[in-house]
Amino acid sequence: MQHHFSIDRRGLLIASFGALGSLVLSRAARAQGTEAPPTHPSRDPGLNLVLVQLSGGNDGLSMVVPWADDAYNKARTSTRIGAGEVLKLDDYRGLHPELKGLRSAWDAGALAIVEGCSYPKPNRSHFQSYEIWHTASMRGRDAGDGWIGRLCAETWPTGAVPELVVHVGANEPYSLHSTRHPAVILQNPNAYKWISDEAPDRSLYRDSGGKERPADSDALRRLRGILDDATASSLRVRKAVLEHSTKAGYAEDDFSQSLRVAGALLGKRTGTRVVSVELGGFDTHTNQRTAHDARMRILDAGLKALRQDLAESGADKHTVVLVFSEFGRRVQENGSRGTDHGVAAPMLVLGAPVSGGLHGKHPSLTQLSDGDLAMTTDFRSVYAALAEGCFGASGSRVLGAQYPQLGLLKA
Amino acid sequence: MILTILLTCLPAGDGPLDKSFQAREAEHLWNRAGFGALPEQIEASVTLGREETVRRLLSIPADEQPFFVERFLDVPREQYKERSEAERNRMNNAARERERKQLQDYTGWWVERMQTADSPLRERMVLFWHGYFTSSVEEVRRANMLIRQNQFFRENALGNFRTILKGMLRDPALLTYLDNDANRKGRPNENLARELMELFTLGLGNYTEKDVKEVARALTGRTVDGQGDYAFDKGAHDDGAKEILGQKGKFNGDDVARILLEQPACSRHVARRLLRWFESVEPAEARVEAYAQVLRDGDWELQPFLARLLNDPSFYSEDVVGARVLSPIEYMVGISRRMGQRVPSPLVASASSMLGMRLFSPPNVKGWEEGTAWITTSTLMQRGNIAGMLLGAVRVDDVFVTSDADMQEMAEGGAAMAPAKKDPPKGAAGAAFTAMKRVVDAGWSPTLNFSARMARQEAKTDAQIVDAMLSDLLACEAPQDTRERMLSYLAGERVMLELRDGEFLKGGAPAERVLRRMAHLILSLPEAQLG
Repeated sequence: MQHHFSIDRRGLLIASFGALGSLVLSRAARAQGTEAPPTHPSRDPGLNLVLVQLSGGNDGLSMVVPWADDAYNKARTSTRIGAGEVLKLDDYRGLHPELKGLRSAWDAGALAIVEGCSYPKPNRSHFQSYEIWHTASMRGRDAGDGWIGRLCAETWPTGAVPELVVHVGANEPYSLHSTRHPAVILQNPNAYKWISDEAPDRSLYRDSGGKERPADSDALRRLRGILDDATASSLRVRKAVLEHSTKAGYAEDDFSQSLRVAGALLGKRTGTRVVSVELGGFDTHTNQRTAHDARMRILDAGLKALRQDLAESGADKHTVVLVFSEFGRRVQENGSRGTDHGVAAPMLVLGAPVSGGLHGKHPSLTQLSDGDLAMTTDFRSVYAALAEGCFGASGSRVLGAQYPQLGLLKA
Repeated sequence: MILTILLTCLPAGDGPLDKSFQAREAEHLWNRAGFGALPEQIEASVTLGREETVRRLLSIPADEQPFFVERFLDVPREQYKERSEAERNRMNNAARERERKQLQDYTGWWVERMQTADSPLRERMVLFWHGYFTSSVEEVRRANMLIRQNQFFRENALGNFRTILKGMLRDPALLTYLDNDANRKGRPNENLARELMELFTLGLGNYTEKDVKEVARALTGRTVDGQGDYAFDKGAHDDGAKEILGQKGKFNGDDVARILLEQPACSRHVARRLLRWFESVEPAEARVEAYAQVLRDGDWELQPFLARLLNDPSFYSEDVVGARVLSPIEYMVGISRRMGQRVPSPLVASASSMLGMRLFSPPNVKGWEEGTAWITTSTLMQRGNIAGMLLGAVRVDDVFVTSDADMQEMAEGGAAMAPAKKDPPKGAAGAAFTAMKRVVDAGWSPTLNFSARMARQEAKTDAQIVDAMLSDLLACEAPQDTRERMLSYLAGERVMLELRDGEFLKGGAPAERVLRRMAHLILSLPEAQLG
């Protein structure tokens, strides 16, 4: 329940700052880039993860289309993608016609489609479902940090550079939320700086961070930690982006531009291991077809450019991209050429380390659960595979439970 | 100004002073029931006492600054069809531009009210309702609908929640935003029904999926006509029997409002949201219930609720004072109000967009996430840059573009660098950059005079100057270590200017420049984001 969130976050903050000394030490270490290596370096396969969130509830049926299914063709009239236009993958399913770049990744064996992803007792609220996806817990924020935050605590308990985890966009996605490893968040790399021409001013600004100051309130302590991370990472991040050159044709839109930053950070090997980006506009209750087509076009163009960029820098061999949304949409269209909130939808996992092809099981379009596609794969199986396959972390420790294994990454 | 209103009826002689309402409490009240205040306003409030200050804040009428909304209507469909494609494109572009311009003008007008209006509590509540019953220009598109919604909030900001809820269920912008214009009998669209219960009235866990479907049916037919006004389409309304939250009947939209308002969960939800907004601390359940009772007892009137809250000792407790992470708007309007120096409103609006709060464009139907979510590694530094720009210590170009100084700083790392790209930023940042540059290029420059300010407050020594600067610029008391660092900073700069302690203000223009830099530093600090 919503009203418990802050209490819990506050409780957590207090709990974690009880051990203020060690925290300050680790922060100081990461600020100087002299962090200790990961505790299990031998177990860390050293892959990077790019998280692409499609916000608003992506209509999975319009992304991976069951074009040969009668039930699909019957339920979908205005949003139907016909056999003539779909990019066929086999005699049952195909990709949205705009996903030509993903289609070529599929042909190269670099695209895994995990079908029917959701969780038990699905919630159709954007916000609650978002929290469940971002924390990998049915309790949402009440469970504490986001799943990437917990992954970092598990994998780098003694600290790492602040730019270990980066979100390119306005607001922190909850998955990155962490009391120990707050993410670096930036929108425009050129503007990721504090400006002053005067040396004493710059030095005072840098000194205003999180040194041991027991009198600080929780909020102030957190803000001071953010200042430390910002001053430590600002120059390195800007430099990496400025120095990175690529022939990949990133489009001008915010989504492609955010992937350009991802490509630079991973290509320049800045120590960044997780980059998160977001593409919004998927809450398509009315006139879905045009809006969703445009989203697919933007998504494909961005991912295509990123793939090329990573191939140029060689980071493609070490990078996995995960595409997900908080829920799919109802099978039956609503009365306004759109779709209402639903349940299961496919997740996409993309990259050279990926074992391409279909994973999981396609949900039935005739045996619906409350009008919705029922879950066939718990999305946390995918998280577990990535936590282990990319970072060598124990999936059950990060996620708090064991989930069925998926052979998502090449051995 | 409000100052005059507050000073006109001072108690005769030295009236009894309320010992629990000193400058700290008064400033807190002005921070949370407004956007911060001048030292003189705070002093006046201490003299008046808490109850009287609250009473006046609540009773100041809305100020009479009209904004005339224009409705741009479409060309009739038949005529539109006859035009060539080139003409249609031209018409569509012109229409889009008109809408964009009108909303931009109104946003500026609104920000102006936040900076200068005599009724800061009303302004604060307008901002609250704007983030509560959200509607975004991305979906609504028609500026006039969004403006009329905002004006409805202005009229009812301190009024009655029932009136507001009922108004919203007839509000063209909200009905469009949540697709109720497409919610028709036999073809229900659940968008409004779901968010109505989850976000506007009951909260998650207090209704079922069945209720969502039934409420959607009851709301069918509530739509928007060609003029952009509310219309009830009888033919589209499903007047069959429904069961909503245990009640059965042939319910319509008004019945839905009645049923929702009858739920105890509704008063708790509204009380919780208001407590969070004013206190920025998660309220205990018992407190939520007590305040929910105030709403129920007052038949949803907001004034008794606010009067009780703003007089509540808990509102002034250690946990609450200074615990709020200021939103971008609060941060910038706060600077303007505390300095008594208005900033061009388009500058505030575009800077706010850049910092993650574009008015009329909330990120989703839940509105903006409050609290520490506002502050990221990048928005923290950018807030400082924007404050520097408002003070004339930072150039607008440097905020967005990699400058020669940046290049030099990066080159110090050793690597040879390509020349800086002077490309203007793209996407959302690009829009903010253009808007801010327009204001600056039009000749705006800050006219703050810190030396005069210090002289007026008789601050002469380093310690007096640092204390006055911190107290003027920050919404709450500065931590001790900050004060010490500022002291040694000022002493260092003073020695450079070859001045003795106590004579700093005799340093003329160079001393004024140091004070501006110091103000820029103070507003860049983590503690400047709290209030």
